[in-house]
Amino acid sequence: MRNSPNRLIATIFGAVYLLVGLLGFAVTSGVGFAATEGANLIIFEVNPLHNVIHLAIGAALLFAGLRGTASARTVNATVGAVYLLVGIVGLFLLNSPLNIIALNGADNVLHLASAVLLLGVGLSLDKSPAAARA
Amino acid sequence: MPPQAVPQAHPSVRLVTGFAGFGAGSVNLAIASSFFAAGSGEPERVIAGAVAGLWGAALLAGAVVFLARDRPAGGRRVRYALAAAAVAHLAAIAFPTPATSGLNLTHLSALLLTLMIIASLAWLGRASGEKRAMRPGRLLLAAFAGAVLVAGITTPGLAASTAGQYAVPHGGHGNLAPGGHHQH
Repeated sequence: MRNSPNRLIATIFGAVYLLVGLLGFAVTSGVGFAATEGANLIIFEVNPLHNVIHLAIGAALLFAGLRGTASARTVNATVGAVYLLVGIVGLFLLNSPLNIIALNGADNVLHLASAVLLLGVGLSLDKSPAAARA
Repeated sequence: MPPQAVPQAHPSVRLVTGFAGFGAGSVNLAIASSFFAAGSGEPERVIAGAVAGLWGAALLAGAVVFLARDRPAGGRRVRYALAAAAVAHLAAIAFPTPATSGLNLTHLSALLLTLMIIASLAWLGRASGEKRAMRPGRLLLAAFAGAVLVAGITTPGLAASTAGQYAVPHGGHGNLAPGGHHQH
């Protein structure tokens, strides 16, 4: 695993997102499942739906990271693309009630950083056949 | 067994170039959405919005192609297009019109990201003959720092756009976006 940037980043991000998802439930008791006003986890605003999404993404990344380089590349690029797409589509959802995961500014920085990092590493690294079998 | 080096030319700079492409694309789409959100239907706003939207989509697609193929799509013409975009963002900041005056921070963010792409491509072009091996852990640390830098420049630009003003500023709901989602 130490030889593959994709497996490393999928495993690390997977573990962190799983942890963040679990910790999120500790601070969101009493918050509506998809409430637009969540609760602060350090500086990141979350609600229960946001926690579930963190758990799902964390599980997918961790599974792929432990499984192999090809899986890690695919899941990294997919999760990164989805994050980026959601961020961009969100820009055009003006004046709508669709912001259901209680985003704040800190969330946006973290999500955008995750998107570019996962998408960039997934698209750019471990492309040789030898690396893909690592 | 020691970690295997990543046998690619300057992978961390390539990654940061791609990250900046994603960031610049997103900010240009935010500029486009701001022009369209004004809703006045003036032809200049519509044209400016369409140009910014197409350029933003081209930057996103170009970043994907660049990262996947290790070279910029479009070759040398890309550099001229990037330089023209940088001049356009600079002009929008220096000579604001009623249509662009509220977007100074967004244009500044787009300008910085565009300059990052130009500088990175120039650096990669100059060092194209070299191969540099980098340990995966070190590469990921550099990539993470680059991603945080790009996100730190991109997010204020997005937040300063019309779209960002509607994007649920906690504690300030309803102040910036009359008729926003909390009023539904």
